[in-house]
Amino acid sequence: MTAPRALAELSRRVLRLAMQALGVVLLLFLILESGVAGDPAERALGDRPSVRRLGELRVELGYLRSFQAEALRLRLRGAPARLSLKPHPDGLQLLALDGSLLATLPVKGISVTDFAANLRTLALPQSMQIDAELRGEGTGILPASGLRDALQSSQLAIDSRLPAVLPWAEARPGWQRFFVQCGELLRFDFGRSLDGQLVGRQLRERGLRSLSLALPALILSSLLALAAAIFSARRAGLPSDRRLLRLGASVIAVSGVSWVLLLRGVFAAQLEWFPVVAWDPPSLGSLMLPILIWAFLAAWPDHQIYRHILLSESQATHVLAARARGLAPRELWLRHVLRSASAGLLAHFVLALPFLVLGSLILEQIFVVPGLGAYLVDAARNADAAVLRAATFLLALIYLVAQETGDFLSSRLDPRFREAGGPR
Amino acid sequence: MISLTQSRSIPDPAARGKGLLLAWALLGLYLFGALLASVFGLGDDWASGGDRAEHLAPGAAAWLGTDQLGRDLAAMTLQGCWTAFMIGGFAAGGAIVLGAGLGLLSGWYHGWLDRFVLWLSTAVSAIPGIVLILVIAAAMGPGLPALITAFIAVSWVGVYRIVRAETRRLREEEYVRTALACGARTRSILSRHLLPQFLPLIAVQFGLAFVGAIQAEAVLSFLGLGAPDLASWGRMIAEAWTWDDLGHGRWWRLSAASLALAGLALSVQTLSQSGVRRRRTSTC
Amino acid sequence: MIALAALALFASPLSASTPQDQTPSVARFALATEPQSFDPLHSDQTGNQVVQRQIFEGLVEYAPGGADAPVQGLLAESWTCSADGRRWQFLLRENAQFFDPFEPPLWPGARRRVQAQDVVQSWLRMADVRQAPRGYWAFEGLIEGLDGWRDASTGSDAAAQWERVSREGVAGLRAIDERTLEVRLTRADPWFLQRLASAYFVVYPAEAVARSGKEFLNQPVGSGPYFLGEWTPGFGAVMQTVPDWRGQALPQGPAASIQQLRFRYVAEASTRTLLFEQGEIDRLPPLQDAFARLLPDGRLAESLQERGVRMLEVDTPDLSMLCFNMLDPDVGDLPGDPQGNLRRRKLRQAIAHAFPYERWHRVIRNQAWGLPATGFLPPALVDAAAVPPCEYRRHDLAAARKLLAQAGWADGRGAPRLRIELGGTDPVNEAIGTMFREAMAQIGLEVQVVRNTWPELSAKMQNGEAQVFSRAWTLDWADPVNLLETFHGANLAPGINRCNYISPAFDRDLDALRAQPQELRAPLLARAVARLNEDLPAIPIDHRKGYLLVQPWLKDVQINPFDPFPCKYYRVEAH
Repeated sequence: MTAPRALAELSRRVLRLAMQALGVVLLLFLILESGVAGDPAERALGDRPSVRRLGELRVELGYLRSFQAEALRLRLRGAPARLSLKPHPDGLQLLALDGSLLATLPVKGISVTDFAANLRTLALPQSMQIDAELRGEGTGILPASGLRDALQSSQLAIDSRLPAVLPWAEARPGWQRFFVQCGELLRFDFGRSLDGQLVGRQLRERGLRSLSLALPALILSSLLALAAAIFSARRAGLPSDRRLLRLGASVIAVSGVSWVLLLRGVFAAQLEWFPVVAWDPPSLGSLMLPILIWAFLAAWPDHQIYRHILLSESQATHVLAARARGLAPRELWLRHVLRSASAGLLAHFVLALPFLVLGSLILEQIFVVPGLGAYLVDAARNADAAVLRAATFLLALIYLVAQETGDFLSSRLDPRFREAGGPR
Repeated sequence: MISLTQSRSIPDPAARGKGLLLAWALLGLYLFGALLASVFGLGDDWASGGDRAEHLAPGAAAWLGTDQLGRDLAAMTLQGCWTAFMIGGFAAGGAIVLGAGLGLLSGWYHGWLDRFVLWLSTAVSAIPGIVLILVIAAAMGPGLPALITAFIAVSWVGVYRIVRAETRRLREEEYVRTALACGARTRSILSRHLLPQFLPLIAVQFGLAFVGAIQAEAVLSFLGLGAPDLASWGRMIAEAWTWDDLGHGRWWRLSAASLALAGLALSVQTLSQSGVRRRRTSTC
Repeated sequence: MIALAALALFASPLSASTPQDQTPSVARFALATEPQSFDPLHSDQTGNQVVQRQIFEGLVEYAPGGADAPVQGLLAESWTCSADGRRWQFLLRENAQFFDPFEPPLWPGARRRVQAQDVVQSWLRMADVRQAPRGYWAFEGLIEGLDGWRDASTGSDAAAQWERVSREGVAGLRAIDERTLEVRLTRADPWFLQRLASAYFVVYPAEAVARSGKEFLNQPVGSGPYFLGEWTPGFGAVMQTVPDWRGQALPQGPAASIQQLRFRYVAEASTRTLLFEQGEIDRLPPLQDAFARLLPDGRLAESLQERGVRMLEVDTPDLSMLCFNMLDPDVGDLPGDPQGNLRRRKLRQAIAHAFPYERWHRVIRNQAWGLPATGFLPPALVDAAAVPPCEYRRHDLAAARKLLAQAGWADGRGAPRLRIELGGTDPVNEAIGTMFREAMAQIGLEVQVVRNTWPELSAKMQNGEAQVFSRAWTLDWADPVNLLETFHGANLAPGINRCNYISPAFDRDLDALRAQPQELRAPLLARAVARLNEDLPAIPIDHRKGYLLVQPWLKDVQINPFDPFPCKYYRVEAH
């Protein structure tokens, strides 16, 4: 291919990649941020979260540009009593113990100082009085939505025994959040997780650990599957082939979780042939049982696919011709079938590579491997959006790059796959 | 996808005759179990332990033994039947409806809709399925809606691609073009001519999605993200792990749940594969 | 060919490492809670506390021993206390040094002597709201001027204030010279030294914080006998002895004789038990699952006895309780609503009568490692005998229904829906939620079970959002006042009063109690506890017993509930 053509194709591929990456970011944004599935901050904090915690988390997640937990400190004087504060389009509503509305204070366009004064001079029944004290740097005109943004989905109450703080917030519009996130992700600036660690560093370290479990497993399972597939394809239709397929189907039908529990229970806990927890010390030896289990479980679906590929190739014209010529079966398979099937087999193998970084969620939980799978599961349990977003984006990116590369390579390697219009 | 040559006479792994009959019988058994559990409410008091002792072995008091709170495992297993059908049915059904619907539209109307949905499907398929399920479960909170939504979100792509490819192919067929030329409406063409062609394809996809959904439920329950108030086989397997059944020699809970799950998965798998006589791989 | 490859893979040495493989000076532990941070700001979490204990030191520590071990000097060589118990002076030892294992080292030779100013700065940092500390409750209302600094740190000129206090200290916390520290308390505290022995008062150099910034949680610099070698956050840590550490003589030999400590977080209790059985870890606090196998009838199983495994047992001064949030409008105490408060009190009392104590003891405690409570104070405490028991802590469904009817919710009709917050998705928490729900259903009360992770529940408790939750409080020192502090009005959320119980009468009694000498406490204590018994801000369930299984090669291990992991006192024999 000539240079300009190569460049053109490369740039076309890069552009496609970028568009797809953008698609992934958009998808993540919609799921994690837009409230399609509920407010992530609420999600993380559960029912009836506190105003302060909600506000701080919303700032972390990028919903709010600023959040002032203590714009005003309120104290209720007078008879032992309690008031609830509820934001309302008209302003701030004050509700009594029984839920009846006592007053509504407008908020829009007033300065914090004036608002405090309004609270102080409010006439309330039972000689109740609100002391409002300015805190922090609450100056300037209040954004109309500030109180509502701060108090969204939370309750605020003041009673005569405890002081309460009235928060203020400034929201960030959705589209802005999206672009900020886009920028961060594309810069690989992944921020910190909820426990204070750098997400990028954790992803890298844990990805490598998962890889050390997954790569040997993939190689082993592919070898096993290939051997079994050659065996099956050569005896296609015969009882031994059928039995093998039926066995495979049964093994796949049983849940992976059950298999891991059983095999670990027998080989590690009972017979003590392998250590019960892997990665201590980090070595191939301690990972042996998880690798073997993974290879065993993954070999069966691969076997079915490889068998299919081999069988298709074995029906190809050139193979039939070679068979007609009287070529010995062994040479037939090795020289003709495997060679022409290699592209398909290799493609299947390569497509599995990007998922290796993920490791196996189940194996990492049971064998206590500090890999990427375990990281994701913890993040999902804690609703740690930063980690989920970063990890998902990275995995998707790896997959997209691998796919494009694989596509590119196969179009170079196998004449049958060249794009129409390219010179032979 | 990389194109493969068309296969003509690959010996079909699908079951025939006796095997098929067995699969149908097994499925019937599960359906009957689900019926007992849902309509007749057999075992729907599984959640309360009553006065039964904890960790009983299978015996007179409880056919499959009891769990850590004295709850009847046989009741849980039966209710699990119903849960499995519910989860599998909704998840697979949703995936089929969404995927096939979008695939039909996408394949029929080329243009911006096609490109947009194609782009969306690439984005979705770029994310490993389990990761997307985790993300959605984290966003929506663990529970049944999250599980089903997540699974639909992950599985619709496969159906979509196949249906889209078939639609595009069939659109060029002689009889379709004739029908169009005669002024037949799109909707009737789609429903009368194309849809019947898809049914075998869709049946296979439904089977795959069904099995995938109940297996995914087992994994999510194990990870602690399942539906906490439902009796499901995945939950039983998860509890067998957390209460270390095997370590105490209590084999019954794990066996019952695993075999139940495997049986249903196997029968659905067998039936859906046998639904297609000849395999056709398509170029995309 | 394939067969050969498979054979090769199998042929590698695969046996689980038996005890014979362990080199003599390595100790291995499996933690039940995640170690996430080496920053003392986060030392309220057990996982963090355990790993930090090896690296950081405070002024004093518990001597080797059990629950009654005395406090001995650590960084402080000696101390004096004024007659009124409010003025303390500590003289720091001369040879205590910080060791910095990170590159580039802060000081030549990577060491520096510990000075009084370091103590001041460490404690001030614990009070700095900008750092979001989680252990400030141990300091609250104790040291003169510290609360003032805390308030100042919320203001806009916090940075300037920090400049000032880190140089000069506050009124009650000052470095007189390099080796002398003066502490002035707002009130006499007979347990002050025990308080100082807890994890919140450790000392570390300000330069390390300045260098690492947000990464200080991964780069601890302390004066203890161990430093952080390898660290996988949330998973495990390996610690090595500090070369040329100043040393500490113990009756049984030099301290910190174990050269390497390996800590690992293993979430599943069953896996931890398995590891202990296989000799992979050196000690194990057995939990539910292990009990049936390892401790049938509460005594060590034969197989373990034969191997020489030891079992240690101790009555921990601890209380597990079911707490109510007294600020909650459905179950709590609201100002200005005396009628409603009466009804809600009867509701709480009814719940206490309907609680499944037996089942809890069976399922959660394996009928072995819990002592059913009769009241709020653990019997291990010396004052416990003089205190009235809680009459509502008794399973009596008839009484429960009667109380409920008196409250106007006969058979639970119209009663508010209860919400129990679980602190984890592990099986024990699940069991608690299910048992509670089923028990309440017996008197007609509806319960919603809310699942949280432990940090989530912690945050909810702190913010006063949980309605009903179970909680265990282990006393930090053997003073019943330490337990009663968790009900004092001044300690409201975000303090340790997670029940948000506000009773001015109770607070008065407790304030008077604090300064009383031992002999005069009984009547005040009785009155305070009687109030708790009646108002029932929490239902006392039981007191956990401490069990510990120890491998035969790990020596000199004793259970001190206030100092769970003093690895420098342990010894590992060759095996």
